[in-house]
Amino acid sequence: MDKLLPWIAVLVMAMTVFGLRYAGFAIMSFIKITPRIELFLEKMSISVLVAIVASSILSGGVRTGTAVVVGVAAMLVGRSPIVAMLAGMASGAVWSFVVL
Amino acid sequence: MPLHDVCLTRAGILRGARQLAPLSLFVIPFGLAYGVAAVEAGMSAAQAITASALTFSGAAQFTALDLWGPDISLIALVLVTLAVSARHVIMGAALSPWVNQLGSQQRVLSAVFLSDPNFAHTHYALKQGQRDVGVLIGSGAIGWAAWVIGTAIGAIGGNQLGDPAAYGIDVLMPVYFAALVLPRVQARSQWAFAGVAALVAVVLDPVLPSGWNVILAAIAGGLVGVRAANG
Repeated sequence: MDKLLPWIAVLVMAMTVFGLRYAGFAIMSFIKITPRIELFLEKMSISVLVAIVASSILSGGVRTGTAVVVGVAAMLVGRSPIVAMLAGMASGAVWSFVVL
Repeated sequence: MPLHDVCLTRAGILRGARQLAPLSLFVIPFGLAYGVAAVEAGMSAAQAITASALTFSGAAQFTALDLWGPDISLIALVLVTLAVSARHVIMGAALSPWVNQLGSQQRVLSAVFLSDPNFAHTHYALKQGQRDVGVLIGSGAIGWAAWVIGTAIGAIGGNQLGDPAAYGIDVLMPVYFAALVLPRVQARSQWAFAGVAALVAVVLDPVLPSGWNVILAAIAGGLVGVRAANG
């Protein structure tokens, strides 16, 4: 049992995450998608990303916040997520080199 | 309201994989970090690689390492995994207008690789008018491959890259998400719900278990967005 337990734990974790991945599709298959629901899903989908970014900045501090601001500025100028990512990464790397 | 005509093609899968390949390269160091941490926490290399292959969730896997040990509690593991990964439900719901038009097997396949980056990428693409859900699978599968490869390198070979922060890799995901969200919140009319989502996430972060603040923030943002649009 001792040798099996870690493997069981791995499977339990994997099944739990997969269940959550599928749950959104399953729950919504019982709900009729009205324009109001579709609007809610649209705003919620953006909100979840905004919330992840806000939480990341909260835990990562000024360095992460600066990288996000630099990335957003690069996105405004370059209109490309790749450009934004490179600019944000450069900001993070420079910060690590200079400040830390 | 007519929903979206969708399809799932091999071409869409390949396109999704191609589009997220550059970002996925940067997933490798995270996978490597997980592989190193997992072995340090007492997992064998085979267990760490299997965990990454089957779970494909950095948040869930790193958090589970805190519980790892000879007497790991499966109930605690499930509860913690539910907490840190519950935002997948929100993402699945948001993609459901497209995905739920597929057959049941294709729906399962769409769920297998659902993660933060391919959700952000695919939802944006679908809102732009793309109709091939294969993009979700392809962009997820390439991230999955990078995650598993990184884990294998870390679990078997140890830490060979040093600290990802030195290269700025650790800030990549929030920057990427911010860049994708930006065009959709630039109009002044969008500021209220996005602001509420950010505020709720930050205020609730210290008082709720990890992950729940993001879920409540997403729901709050959704409700405010609907209210604002309907006056």
